[in-house]
Amino acid sequence: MGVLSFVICKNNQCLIFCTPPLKSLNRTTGCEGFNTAVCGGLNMVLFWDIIYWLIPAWVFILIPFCIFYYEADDGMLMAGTSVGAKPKSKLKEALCYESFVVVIFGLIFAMTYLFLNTTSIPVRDWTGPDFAAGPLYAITEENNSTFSASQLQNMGDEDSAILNANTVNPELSTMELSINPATFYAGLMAWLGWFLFACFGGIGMAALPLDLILAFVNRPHHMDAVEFAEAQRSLRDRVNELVNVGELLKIEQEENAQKYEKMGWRERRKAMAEEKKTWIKFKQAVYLMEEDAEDFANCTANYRNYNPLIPIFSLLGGILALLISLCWVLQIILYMLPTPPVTPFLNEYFRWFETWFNLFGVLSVAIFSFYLLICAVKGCFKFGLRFLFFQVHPMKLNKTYMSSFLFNIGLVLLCALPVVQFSASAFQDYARYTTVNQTFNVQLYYLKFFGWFWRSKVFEYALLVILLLTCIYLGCKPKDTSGGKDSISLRDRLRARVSG
Amino acid sequence: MVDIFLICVIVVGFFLLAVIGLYLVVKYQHPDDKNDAYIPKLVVLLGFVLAGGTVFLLPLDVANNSNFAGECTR
Repeated sequence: MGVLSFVICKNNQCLIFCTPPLKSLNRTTGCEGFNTAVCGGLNMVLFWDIIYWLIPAWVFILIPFCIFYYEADDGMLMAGTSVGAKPKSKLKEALCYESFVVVIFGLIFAMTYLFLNTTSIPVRDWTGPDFAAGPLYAITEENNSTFSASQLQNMGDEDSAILNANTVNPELSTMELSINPATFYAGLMAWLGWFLFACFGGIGMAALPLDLILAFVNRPHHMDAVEFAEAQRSLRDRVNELVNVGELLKIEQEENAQKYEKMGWRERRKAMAEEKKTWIKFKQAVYLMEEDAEDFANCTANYRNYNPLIPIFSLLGGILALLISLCWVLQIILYMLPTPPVTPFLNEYFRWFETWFNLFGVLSVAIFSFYLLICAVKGCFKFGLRFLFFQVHPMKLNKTYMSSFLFNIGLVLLCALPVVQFSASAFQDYARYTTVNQTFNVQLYYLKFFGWFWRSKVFEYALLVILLLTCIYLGCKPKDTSGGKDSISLRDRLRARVSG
Repeated sequence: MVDIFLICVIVVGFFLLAVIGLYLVVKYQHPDDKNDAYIPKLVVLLGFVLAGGTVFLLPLDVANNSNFAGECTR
């Protein structure tokens, strides 16, 4: 037998015992084909590799292609190009846009892998005495020929002597390794997704519990005659204003189509951006009006048919979401940000299940991780509703267009890897033997350039700050209101523009 | 030998995600999109399974490697 070597990676640090062959780091910590009494026997590396390849394929190939192809009907994305378009030309156009996206991202992927694919993992060298110098053990033979650890002699002084003879290099050295493309792209996708997740996840973690609780507080109640008349008049006014705005927008769009032909590239871009912003504002106002109209219907015409359990479930869901959000905040503050961590917190709670029913611990990890994904979608929607940077894509029963589905799935897929990375580092104690821990908390953690963001915990700080700012903001303005004033000012502005 | 329980969990998990995804697509879709746009619907459905699968792979990884103290592959 040659040298005994094994690697243990814990808390972002690897210990290499004796003199390991270099390839040992590239070996997996999975347990494929191993005894199921010890490991599950699944090849997790293969599972993760499939996921790492499928996510960019979905985000950069399939979803954009579907959006390009079907948004051509809407005319929003490729304004002016889709009117009267034939299916064949739509397909050609979508393929053209798609190839542009693939080339751009293909180049980015290839260049980043070429120049940034090395990881510098810190290692501590331990050197032990020769294997032959170790003590000899006798194994008690038993009647049945299978071997078990209980047949070995107990460890004694000779073993202590051998262990004491180990020499440890007090200085940490680094080992430079290039990582495989699948792992690298997982890191790249996670890095890209982190910008969205830190922003929307932070907003969603504060907004989700609040909105669920507010759904209970503002549940439909019976209106008296005065309230009814007032609400009906207010809604009617808003509908009339929005109809006016819609008509003005249509006129403006027709006029603009002619104006664009005479404009220079820069002017046209500016005018189109302005037009898009007005559209977004209009759609936002229509969405909020529809919401209020639905609430009004629930208070009046549908009052008898309204399921009274909905607000109660909202309240229960809100309390549960609040608890999970609070646990996440505490986990970040107590475990993820300080070095060394103050307490393992949720890790301890998950481990507690190991003492009586292991499956609950695993399920808890699933709940905590999936909650983050829901928060990201909620946060994106909330952000779109409050600020005018992009179009809102609400998920409404029987009212969701394919473009909204595609947008939300794209967002969820972009946030999936940051969620996994975030969970893997938050539950590092509990999930210490996992393959994903080896990938995200060791290989990618020390990656050139990208690793800096994770080592300095930039995204975790950003998420926490955004979460706190959202709490303050939503505390002051809890309700999404476009209000009558917004649609009136929009109408007046449009009138001035059209007549001008 | 692979743990039978984990195989069952994967199959059931995949099936559940697919059913929930299908339910979401069918229930939430706009009447304008009914019996139309099958390819994006498939992309959305599989995308949902993929996103759910990615997040649930972490607990599966934990379950697969629990009770295991050290490297198993060598």
